[in-house]
Amino acid sequence: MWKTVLRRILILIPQLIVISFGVFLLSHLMPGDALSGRIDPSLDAAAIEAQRERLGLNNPWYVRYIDWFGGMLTGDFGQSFIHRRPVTEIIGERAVNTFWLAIVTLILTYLIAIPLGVLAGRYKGAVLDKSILIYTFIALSLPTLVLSILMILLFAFNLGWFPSGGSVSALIISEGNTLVILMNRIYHMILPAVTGALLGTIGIIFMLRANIIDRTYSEYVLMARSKGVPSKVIFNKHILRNSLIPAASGFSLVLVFQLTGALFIEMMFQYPGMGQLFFSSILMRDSAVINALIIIFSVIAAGGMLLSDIILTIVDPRIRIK
Amino acid sequence: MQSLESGFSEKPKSLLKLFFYELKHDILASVSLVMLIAIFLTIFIGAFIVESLFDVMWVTPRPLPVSPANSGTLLGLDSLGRNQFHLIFVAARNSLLISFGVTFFSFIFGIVIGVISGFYGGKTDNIIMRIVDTWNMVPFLMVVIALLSVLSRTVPVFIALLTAFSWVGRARLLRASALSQSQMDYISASKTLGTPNIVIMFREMLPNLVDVTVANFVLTLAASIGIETGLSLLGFGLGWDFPSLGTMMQNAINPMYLQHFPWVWAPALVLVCTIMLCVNFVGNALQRVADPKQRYA
Amino acid sequence: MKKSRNVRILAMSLVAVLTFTACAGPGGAGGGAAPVQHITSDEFPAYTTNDAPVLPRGTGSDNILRFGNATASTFSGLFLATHSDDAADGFVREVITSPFVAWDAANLWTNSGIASFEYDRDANVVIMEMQHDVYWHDGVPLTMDDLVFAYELIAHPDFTGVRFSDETFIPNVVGVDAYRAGTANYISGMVLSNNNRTLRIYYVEPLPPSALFAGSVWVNPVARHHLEPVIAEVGHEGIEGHARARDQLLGFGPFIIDTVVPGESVFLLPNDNYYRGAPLVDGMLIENVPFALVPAAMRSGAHDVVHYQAANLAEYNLMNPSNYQLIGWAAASTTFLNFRIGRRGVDANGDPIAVPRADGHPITNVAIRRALAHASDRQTVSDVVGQGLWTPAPSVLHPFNAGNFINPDAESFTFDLALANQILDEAGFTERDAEGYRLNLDGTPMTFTYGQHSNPTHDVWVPLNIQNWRQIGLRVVMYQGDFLEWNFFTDIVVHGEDYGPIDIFAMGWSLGANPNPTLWAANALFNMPRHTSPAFEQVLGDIMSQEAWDPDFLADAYRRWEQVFYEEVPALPLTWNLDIVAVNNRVANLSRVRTDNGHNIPGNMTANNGFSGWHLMGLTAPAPYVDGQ
Repeated sequence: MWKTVLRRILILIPQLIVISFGVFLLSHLMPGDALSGRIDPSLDAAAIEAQRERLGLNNPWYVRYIDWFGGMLTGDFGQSFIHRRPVTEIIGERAVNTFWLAIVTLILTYLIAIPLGVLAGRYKGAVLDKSILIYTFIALSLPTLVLSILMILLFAFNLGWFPSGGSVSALIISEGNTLVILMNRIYHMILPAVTGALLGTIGIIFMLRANIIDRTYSEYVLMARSKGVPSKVIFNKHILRNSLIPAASGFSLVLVFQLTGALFIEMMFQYPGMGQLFFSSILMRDSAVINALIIIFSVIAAGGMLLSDIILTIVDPRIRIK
Repeated sequence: MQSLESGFSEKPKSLLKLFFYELKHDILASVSLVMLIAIFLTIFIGAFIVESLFDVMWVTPRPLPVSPANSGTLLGLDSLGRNQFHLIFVAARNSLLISFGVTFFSFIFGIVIGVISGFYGGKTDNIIMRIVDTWNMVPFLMVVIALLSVLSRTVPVFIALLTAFSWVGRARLLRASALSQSQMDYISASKTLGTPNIVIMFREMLPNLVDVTVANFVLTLAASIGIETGLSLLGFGLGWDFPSLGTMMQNAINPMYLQHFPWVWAPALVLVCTIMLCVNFVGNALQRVADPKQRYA
Repeated sequence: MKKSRNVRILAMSLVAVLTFTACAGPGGAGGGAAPVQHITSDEFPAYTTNDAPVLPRGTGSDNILRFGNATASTFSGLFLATHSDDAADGFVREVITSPFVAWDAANLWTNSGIASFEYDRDANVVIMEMQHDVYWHDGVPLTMDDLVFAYELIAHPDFTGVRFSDETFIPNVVGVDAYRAGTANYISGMVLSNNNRTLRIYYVEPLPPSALFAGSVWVNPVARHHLEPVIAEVGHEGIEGHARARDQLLGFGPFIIDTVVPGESVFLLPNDNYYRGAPLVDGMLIENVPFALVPAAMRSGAHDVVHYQAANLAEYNLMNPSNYQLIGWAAASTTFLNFRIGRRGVDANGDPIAVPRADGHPITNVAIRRALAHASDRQTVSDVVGQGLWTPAPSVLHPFNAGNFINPDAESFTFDLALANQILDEAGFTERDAEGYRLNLDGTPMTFTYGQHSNPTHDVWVPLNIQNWRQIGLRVVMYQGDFLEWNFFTDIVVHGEDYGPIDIFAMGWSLGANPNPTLWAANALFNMPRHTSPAFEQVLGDIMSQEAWDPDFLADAYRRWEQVFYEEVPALPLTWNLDIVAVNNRVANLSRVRTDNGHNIPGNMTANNGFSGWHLMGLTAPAPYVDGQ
């Protein structure tokens, strides 16, 4: 199995090269560069041109690609034109925020999804199942942004229970108490995480429910039933345990989903993570950051899929990667 | 040739019969189907009527949207003075057209690639799947947003972009089914008989994949509506002259509109949710047809 | 329509690049400009009314001023004035420094700041003298040597910013060339004396009258003792990334940066050694807030002060909340609907110049432009969308910096469809095609392309204009069928070398202190219509000539400028706007009369002498009031 894993990782490299090339071309296609958006009549054209030269924006595209790619191999994604700092630094800061938000959202998602999925599967066809299904369908059709606004309006402004944005309060940081700062960060994460969780439960609920239903009609359960084993025991011992396992393996996929879906949530909650960075970089034509972000997200996606497959293999002996 | 093969193949019982059987037991799905048909008909016919009779896009700026009560119209006016009741027909029709287009094209692509890959298996399958995987890795939303901010916002471009990213899922699904089908006897039989591969793929195997295809088609439709709405909502939708359900819902992001002027965004939101719900219910019923374990039968 | 994105806090004056010679005339401040008029609306006072006693220092976190930063871009964290020109950063900069040289109500340098300012025309030297004892936040005294250091930073060949340009007059200083070439390690034209409290700057070319306006000559010092070690460590290129240019930046103003949460918020502590007195509040917190959420945030008491947009005002009028007041003042920005009449070519010397269109497009016909202007309904948009904050602009001059030059009787473009139709008929565009659109004089169909960037408040201009223009028989279509992305848009209209593909577009930018219309000169990059004509050249030349030192001559030249602009209409000025700020009822002593060249930040102000009054603001309640209190 590890051979296959290794092979998958090796294939990843040319895949990433292709993607990086595509992404680079994409950002090259985008007209305008970091300086074209500066509308200030008092800047004279010569100064802008000089800046362009200095930043290397006038070099032909293959030169810029080689520069960029070479830098990437050594971990240097270049300098952000807008923030005037190395890209790795900026993304690093934001990545930490996004990562923690994704983790908290993940935890909440499972906390909500597992009970609901189990109930839906157990009581299939009953009112409970139907209502849970309706909830998932609503979650499917309700746009993330609308839900975010509703949450902010209700919980942040009307009730005042949670802050409406940001990751941490500057006041708290200035006081310097690490524990308090940590609590404050978590406090800021709750509302966006709950919003994300409410929307992300769909996949898990469906999967759990389908798995449970599958098992309920499978042969070994039928046999146990005919033996006279009480329903409850059957459910807990046979069905539940076996159904939860594939759900657990899906966590990396869910994580990936959170990271990309975080785009909208971060925007609405003004949460300074990678999603918000992406939007503002598109707006300000910060191609260095945009390229780096897309590559990073691709790697995360690939890694997530691989991890999920590995876990599934380990956990479920029936599935073996050949 | 047909009759010889029917002894070897495992064609499913009439799909349509199964479908109606499911519907009979699933009230939700049957009601949804009826509603969907009614909604679609109303939207398309209504849009045609509205556009021939009124100039829906005529602008008279208002400070704030005008409520139905104050303006004497069914659904009020938005801040550009446009009649919301007329507008929603046009917007809904546009959204549906886009979603149908995207779903249709991504299926064409997905079917072709998936069936080829599944039929040949082995090395071909591997290569194709690796390409598909690479394509899958790219964060679709980010690239679409980046591209939409520079390309011309016309309908073909939009459909092409969305298709480019959703065909992957279809290809995977069909490839999995095609792989399992290709192991079956009737396929080997055809091969032995010397039938050209293309004929086998698309005349023999494909009909057996219909159940999976149709179910997924319907669900993809729902997803496309959602994506198109989401993008329009963000401002990455189609041009200003092309209202869609998503653009109508853009106002819902503004707290003031959300709280005080519900007639501007609520009809669109309700319509989107209703359509998606109905489509999902029907799609689920279709999936049960395809997957015997989940049937009510 | 689109306000400029990266607005500099101290707006620079608009000076033509090379063609300027100033000369003899009365020296000193006051070169002919009387106090400018302000547009104020009666609804919006310029200061708060709150007489309750202010919370004393030491109250703690209740006494912290919460400012909401509602810009589209978050601050980048680079606060050093020489290297940064970001608007969001600029606000923090304003609060941690203080105007080194102050300016008066006419935007001219005056002597009520930290240093005095004088320009000796005969000797061509600027003389500045420190009049107060001021200290950096770390206790080290501020001296003129710090200003010299700022010049050395900007003039250095490895400098990474954009300040080395003619607007700051730094390239014009004696000795700068040698310094840049590396043959000298200091700038010989900057002479310190009087124990580093007096600075003389000698210039090569005589300075134009615009040097007397605030925001021209560079007067922002940088702490030498604090940054020189950084240069030794990371070189000039590394300054931008170093903490000492960011959250550890030294200032000498009323507030000191304490904590920066990148991209989110900044927390500042009061500077008790501020030379004008210690601030009344215990701290200031600046946080980001999205535009759409601003009214909801204010009503729930999340912030003390936030900038409002017209759309936010609509909600305010609807809700009429009780917990805050609105302060308003004239916005220092202008927007024009530009008509692309030419392109940017080169003249005989290879220098850029505006070249008239050669493709015979009807937009070059002045009758068409006048008709388009008369068919643009600025009044409706001002009333309906602007919520009373906007008025249609009757003149190319703006009351912010040219108030006394504006001719109240000048002709302007009223909204009159009948008149527009008449103009077109009289000009010969009488034939129509099957759909009712007018044909060109030679019988060919006409199409105009309208390109626009999207801004939620201003979007309505486009469909309304297109609709009205359809009424007068002109076919106008949106470029690519939709609003354009900002960089794409500016790439075409600002940096594009050719005519096209956009014929009509709106563009706005912030205004400098100097009403000098060099923006419209034939070789200016920001001459959006790319228009030039003999009459234009004549008037612009007069305004920028030697005789401009004579106030009467200048006033007459401006009047002629207004007239020529109206007659040739290369662009249509859109609206004059009011900026408003929502202030919670617990804030005291906040007033906003233009102090810092119109940047839309409230500050305290007494007697128009142009210094930042943040230290005078106080709070009268432990928490911001909530709607209903």
